[in-house]
Amino acid sequence: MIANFFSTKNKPKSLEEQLKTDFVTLSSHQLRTPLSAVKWFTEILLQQKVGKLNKKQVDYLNEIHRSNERAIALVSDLLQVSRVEAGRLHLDLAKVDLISLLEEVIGANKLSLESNQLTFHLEIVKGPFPLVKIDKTKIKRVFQNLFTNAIKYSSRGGHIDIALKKAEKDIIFSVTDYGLGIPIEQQDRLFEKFFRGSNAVKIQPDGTGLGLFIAKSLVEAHKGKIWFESTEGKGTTFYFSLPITGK
Amino acid sequence: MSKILVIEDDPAIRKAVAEGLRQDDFEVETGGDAEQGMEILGRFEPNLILLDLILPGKNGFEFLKEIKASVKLSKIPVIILSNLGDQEEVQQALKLGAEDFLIKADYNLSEVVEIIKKHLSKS
Repeated sequence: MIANFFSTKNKPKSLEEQLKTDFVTLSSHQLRTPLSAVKWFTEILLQQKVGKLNKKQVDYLNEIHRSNERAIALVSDLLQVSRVEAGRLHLDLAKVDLISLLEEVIGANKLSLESNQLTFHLEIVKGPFPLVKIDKTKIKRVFQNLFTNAIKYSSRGGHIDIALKKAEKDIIFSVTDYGLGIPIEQQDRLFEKFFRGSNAVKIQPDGTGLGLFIAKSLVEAHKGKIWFESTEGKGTTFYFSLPITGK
Repeated sequence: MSKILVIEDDPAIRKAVAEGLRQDDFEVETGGDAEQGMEILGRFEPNLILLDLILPGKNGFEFLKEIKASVKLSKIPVIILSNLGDQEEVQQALKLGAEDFLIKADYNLSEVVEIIKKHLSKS
């Protein structure tokens, strides 16, 4: 049944690639349905309108909710990767105020910042800031991926610096954490799909290694660039640029 | 009390959506495919239709097309609630006259209910 929806899409080059992409796409869609059901029934139970719960039951349901959200995020990442690999990354371009978009992402991460006792500083160059033509959802995802990495890999009580600057032809975003940094021998592989640096695994054993791969794909789809500077033991700065597209 | 028709082939999702809506005092009818949906529309006049896309038999796009081609039914707002969500699918649904496109996994049930209320207050 579901195959009808995918048969008209661009085909990957080799049979192996096609099978891999179809498998990921199909399983991602099929997995999201039962995960959505778990999400919603957990929510219904936690609202306690169908019955009162004791403290332990609330605690366990919250654990189910958190685990389920992790599974949903992983499946969404796999789906995003399959779209990239099948050449089905469609950009819905519109002029967007990047400052508001960035502030939205920061706002959405306030709880994580607070629970990790992190401070942050946002630097935005004064003066008129150009609107850029981007796919808002996708660039928001890039901000989100880089910002949550900075939160995850900062030491508790640490600090994060965020900047949005205007260069001659580009807007450049950067986010700096002062965490463990990336060992130099692993830096070449950082944007590879499923690659996870050894320091990252130490801090976050359950990461997928897809966040930076997705961020790179989304930035490059906008004709931008993504890169980083890192010193082990001192921290990491990620940058990405987006071309200013004029009026 | 607003009336909602839910067309969804997955029984668990159907049950969860109906429960969420009924808790908010909506009157709900559910169908598992387009054929059942049409049969229900013969006796039930919903204020809004919540429609899945992957359905056995006729898919959600075809059902939506039929609704929008019907003089009697075309005014009923339709919200897509699916786990598809490629840009082409979203655009196709909106082009066919859907009011909104919600990816199930991205929303809490209470958010889905709030969005339905927002659309009902507009229409």
